[in-house]
Amino acid sequence: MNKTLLQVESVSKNFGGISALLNINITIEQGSITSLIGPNGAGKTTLFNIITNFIPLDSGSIFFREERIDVLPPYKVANKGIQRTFQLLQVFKELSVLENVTLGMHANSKTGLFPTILRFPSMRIEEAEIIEQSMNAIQLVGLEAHINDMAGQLPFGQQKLVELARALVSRPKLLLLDEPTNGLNPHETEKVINLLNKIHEQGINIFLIAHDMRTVMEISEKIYVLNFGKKIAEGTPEEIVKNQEVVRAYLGKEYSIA
Amino acid sequence: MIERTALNMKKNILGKPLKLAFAGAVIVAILLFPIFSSRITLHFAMVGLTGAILALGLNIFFGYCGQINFGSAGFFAIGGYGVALLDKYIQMPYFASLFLSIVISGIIAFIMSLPLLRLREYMLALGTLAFGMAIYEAVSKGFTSYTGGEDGINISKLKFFGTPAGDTFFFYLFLIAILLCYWVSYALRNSRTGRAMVSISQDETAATSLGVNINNYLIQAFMLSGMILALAGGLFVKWTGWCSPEYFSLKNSILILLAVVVGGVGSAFGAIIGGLIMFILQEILVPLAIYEMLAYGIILCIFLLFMPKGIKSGIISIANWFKGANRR
Amino acid sequence: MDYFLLTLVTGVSIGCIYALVGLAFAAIFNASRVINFANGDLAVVGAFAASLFVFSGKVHPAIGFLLVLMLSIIAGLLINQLVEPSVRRKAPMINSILITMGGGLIIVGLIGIFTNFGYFRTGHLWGLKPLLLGKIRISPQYLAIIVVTAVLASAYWFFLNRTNWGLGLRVLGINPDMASLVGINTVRGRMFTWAISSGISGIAGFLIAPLIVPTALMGLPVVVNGFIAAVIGGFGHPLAAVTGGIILGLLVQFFTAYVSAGNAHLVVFLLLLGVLVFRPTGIWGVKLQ
Repeated sequence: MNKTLLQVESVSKNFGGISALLNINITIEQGSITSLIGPNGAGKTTLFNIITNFIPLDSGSIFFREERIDVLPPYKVANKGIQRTFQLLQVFKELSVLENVTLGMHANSKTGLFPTILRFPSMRIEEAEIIEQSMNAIQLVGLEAHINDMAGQLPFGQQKLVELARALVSRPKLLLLDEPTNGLNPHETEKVINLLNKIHEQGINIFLIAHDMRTVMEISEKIYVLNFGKKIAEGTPEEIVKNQEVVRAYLGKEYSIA
Repeated sequence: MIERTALNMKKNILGKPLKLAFAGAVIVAILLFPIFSSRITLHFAMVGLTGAILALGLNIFFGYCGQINFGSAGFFAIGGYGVALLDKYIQMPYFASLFLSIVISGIIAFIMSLPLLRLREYMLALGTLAFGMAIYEAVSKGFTSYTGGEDGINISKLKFFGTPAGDTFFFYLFLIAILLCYWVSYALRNSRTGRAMVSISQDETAATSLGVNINNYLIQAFMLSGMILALAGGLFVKWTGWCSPEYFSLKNSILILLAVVVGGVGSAFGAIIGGLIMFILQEILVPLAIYEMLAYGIILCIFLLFMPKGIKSGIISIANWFKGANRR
Repeated sequence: MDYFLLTLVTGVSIGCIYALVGLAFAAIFNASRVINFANGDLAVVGAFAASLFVFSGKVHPAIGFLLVLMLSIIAGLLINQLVEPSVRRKAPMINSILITMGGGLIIVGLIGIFTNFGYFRTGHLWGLKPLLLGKIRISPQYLAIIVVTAVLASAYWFFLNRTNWGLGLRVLGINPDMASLVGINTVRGRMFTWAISSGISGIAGFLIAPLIVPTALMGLPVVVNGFIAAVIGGFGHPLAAVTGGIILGLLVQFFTAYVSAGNAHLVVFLLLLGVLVFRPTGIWGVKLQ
């Protein structure tokens, strides 16, 4: 039974006269791994920013589990179960790995100021759960050895894993990953691909932006292609590879077969 | 959980039992302090303890959330004048008036937070500066018929069964207050709420994407901060027996800020140390008052430029440098 | 009626002082995203230099003026050097605000030690004869302030908008990385802006000195009011601060004259709150992001 998880309907966005996104329609189904690809500047990260409402859209609407989310403040979108990672890392550099990941549980917990200061039992229970889930997430990405290390001092590849762990610890319903393998060597890339598959098996839906074709082809069930803010193709990996427009967009007219 | 200063490199110079013994000795020394110290030393210590509470208060807003507050003396004043006025006009028993002053401070903090906390950085700096100055002007020149203006208000002595409470009593009272505030800070820091606050100081975008309602937490931090500052005010004026505007000048707002910077921004324990150091320093400089401003300016610049993580890291760096030098 | 006129003139005049300081704030903010909390202290340097050279009668006022300018600029550049490392590595604004505060404290601390925190010598530049406006007498200094402010503000506007150097500084403010890419020396650009800004603050101190009792501690109300002037006017446009300053000056003077002398600060505070709540970008808006 495929229920629609995310529905992006006719979304457009202008930046002072430049059309960053034009009439975008995207459907993400429950239980899927979807990729968003396209040449640099196509508007992929902009779309993510609009879905999470960090930038307001100009027209159109976005539905998450049949609820309209483009009218919610960004922190509420996160609380609905959408988590994202950033293209340029936004790890909390001066906090430890463990603290970074426990912050990922923020959307999934609710203890407020009073219970915290008065040390209510409910707070202690929740805190224990937060730590346990965080440890699980850290183990999943393989960073147990670095729990207390300051996140900003880890090598780039590991910081990306921290951000990933932080994003998935709250068991989001939809995980938006912006270039998860960007800047990683082949070994690290392989690791991330395996991780993504594993996460997907655990029931987390993934919508990712990627440049690395290997990643995209290996794990995606469906691919959307953007170019200059417009959707130029959608389909399975096999379909996309054969799509002339896509080839042209990426490689230029000289390489198209038609 | 490690503190924000991330200085969890424990130097294992002392073995565990030795460390415990050392800590124990320090605690005993602190507890017995008032008995063995002279009147003057005790006076200095009490001012230092007040500074510690003030720094702990500011640390919640400035240290955890990373937001500027140039008007912390304003909340210090609310606590002080709250107790003083309640004592003068309706002779309210002390601990009740202390409690009430703290609550009032929280309410005022909440009201002020509505316009102020939409601002960040320099606007917030200005807003809090103006707030602090407005309070100072209000109590010193504004409502002088009530507040006694520059002369201040005399406060009745705290009495238990007819005997007035002395410095020693207040020493332990202040200690309890510090422990309370430290405990609140520690509990806060190692909780979901505290982590959310720290995330705001680190990266607002990432914090929002994780579901942190920034405005909400800033208001909470501002209120808690204001209440702790007011607690210090209520305690301080009862001890000195007098509430006067000079306690609440901009200079003291800056001093409190300095205390947090020196102790290490974001560290509750550092705030205690920084508060002790800076406020005792202020008392020491009273005969040398001319050099006060210069001293504060130099300290501020040195710590900001060379020791941004506070005095602890500065000492560790110097120690490391010596270690390195020995090896050469 | 005459009282009204007097209040009006003094209001505009004092407002001009706030305007100059506000202008100084805006200049530095536009060039380097830093709020120079030592601005008021630079005005103190100006008043101090004036007391040393001009009002002591040792030097001709014109040369004294230049000395005031020089000392203020040197002091300002010192603070600029303290804050440069933070600006270069794009540290959070808190750092630079606190560093400028520290620098200001050092400068005022030194002046205070030198003067024993007493009153600076001051005097009258235009002889003791007051001007007559209708039936009221007013010190020519008030008018001098207005004239000098008009000249400085126009000169600054002209420089910023009609010269190449000014263009460079504007680009520097909008995007320092881009500026350096097109060949603008960002470090020198900032130094230059700081020099202009501190010079203006110093002159402001020099101008106000004969009208008040200047001490090392006079910087505080100056910096607060100057900053408020810049906020009211808006940080984007340099001349916005002038509008803000004059409005503020008029407000304070009229309130003091007609309502209550001791509570003017409250009015200022409420005005500030009002602006922050309803129009944080100021009258002229357009905060450069």
